[in-house]
Amino acid sequence: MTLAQELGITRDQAEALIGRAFDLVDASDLDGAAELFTGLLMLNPGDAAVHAALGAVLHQQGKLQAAEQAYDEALRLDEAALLARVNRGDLRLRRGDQSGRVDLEFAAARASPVQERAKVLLRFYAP
Amino acid sequence: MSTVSGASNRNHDCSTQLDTGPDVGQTSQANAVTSQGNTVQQAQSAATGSPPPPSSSARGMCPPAVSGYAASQQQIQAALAGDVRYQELSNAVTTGEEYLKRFANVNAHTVFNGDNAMTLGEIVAVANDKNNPANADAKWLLEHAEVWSSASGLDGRNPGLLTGTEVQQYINNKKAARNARHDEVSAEVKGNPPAKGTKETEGGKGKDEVAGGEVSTEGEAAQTDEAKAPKKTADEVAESVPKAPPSSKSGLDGALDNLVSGADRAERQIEAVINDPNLSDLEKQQKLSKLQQQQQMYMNMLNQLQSMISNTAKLWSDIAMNAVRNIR
Repeated sequence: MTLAQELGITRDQAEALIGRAFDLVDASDLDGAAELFTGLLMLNPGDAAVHAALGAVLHQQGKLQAAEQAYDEALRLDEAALLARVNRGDLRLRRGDQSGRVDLEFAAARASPVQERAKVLLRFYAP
Repeated sequence: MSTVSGASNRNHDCSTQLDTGPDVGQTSQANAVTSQGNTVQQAQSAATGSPPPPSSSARGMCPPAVSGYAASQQQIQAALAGDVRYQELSNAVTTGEEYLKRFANVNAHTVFNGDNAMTLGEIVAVANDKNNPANADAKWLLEHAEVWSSASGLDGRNPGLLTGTEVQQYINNKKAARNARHDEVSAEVKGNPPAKGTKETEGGKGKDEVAGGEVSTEGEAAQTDEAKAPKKTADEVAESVPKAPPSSKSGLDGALDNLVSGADRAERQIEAVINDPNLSDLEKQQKLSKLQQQQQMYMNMLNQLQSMISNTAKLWSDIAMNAVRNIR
């Protein structure tokens, strides 16, 4: 049983919290957003999308190792977490790790809001 | 320990207390004065928030006269020592006093030093700054987040901000509760004297609410049952703390309600684990670390949400104010 279930947090309540966290991202309050996402993961560690979102915030903060761990966890829970795929691919290729290409190719092959970004990044990192 | 019978206590010399010289014949009067004295002390202690000072009977000199029975102060002390709720409250007072001292020191070393108010973020900043002279105190404050969650917002203002006054109020509340519990236990002991020739604590009778559940501390039989009962793990102790029913509200309001309930429960779980005499220190530390982390998470989330809500409220208030200005 997750903490969210113990507390009786419903889906719409969780979505409201996630919405607030994204509001903080939009307001450039990355510390605040990271705190909310971290809290949301304590409430429900099985939410791949929230792991991916936390990874993106940490990535933006330059906390690359922690960001990659968050992407890894998101993809462990859901291999089709495309945001985590694209961002992890970008992060790895930027440090010269060619395994990042696999992530980008995976995301570039699937229709999604991040498909175009995956294609652009693949071109950018093309050898 | 042998029983000090009511009769023998009545014949005890109360001269030290009354300063009237030894006079066994004045015993009943002396007891009446003692009894009144106790009442005054209790009233004073309730007013000042301090624990009742030891009465003369506490020194084993003269018991108060109650319903024909004189419960010795040792019995009361023994009952209090075994009373989980009383011990919980005593620990909370001690922690609160220590918290206040360290809070003041950390406050003096923050950017807004000396304002007697701090956000959790300010404390975290000091705790993360190894060069800050109040670094250790800030870490201690974070380890005792239960004080923060209970005290912040006591004045009904901003629960994201904690003031020294709120900590003091927290201490006073705990002291008042402790004193009330002291009186309850004393009354129970006095109303249920031990049978002759039995141990002093056997007559002690009390019920104490631990983490929402009733724990009977009635006499030896209960103690024997307790000894036979399988020892609870730290997880079980924490789990035995009752949950508040989930909020029926939807969206952010419901989430906030549930997070507040979570923070409250975590605080009560921390207290239950701290005060469980059957848990080893290692077990306690491990569970407390987890619970404090959880509570910290709730507080962080609530602080973030609170500050967002405040910002939104301020935005609307600014818009409203501008609208008024434009109309004028």
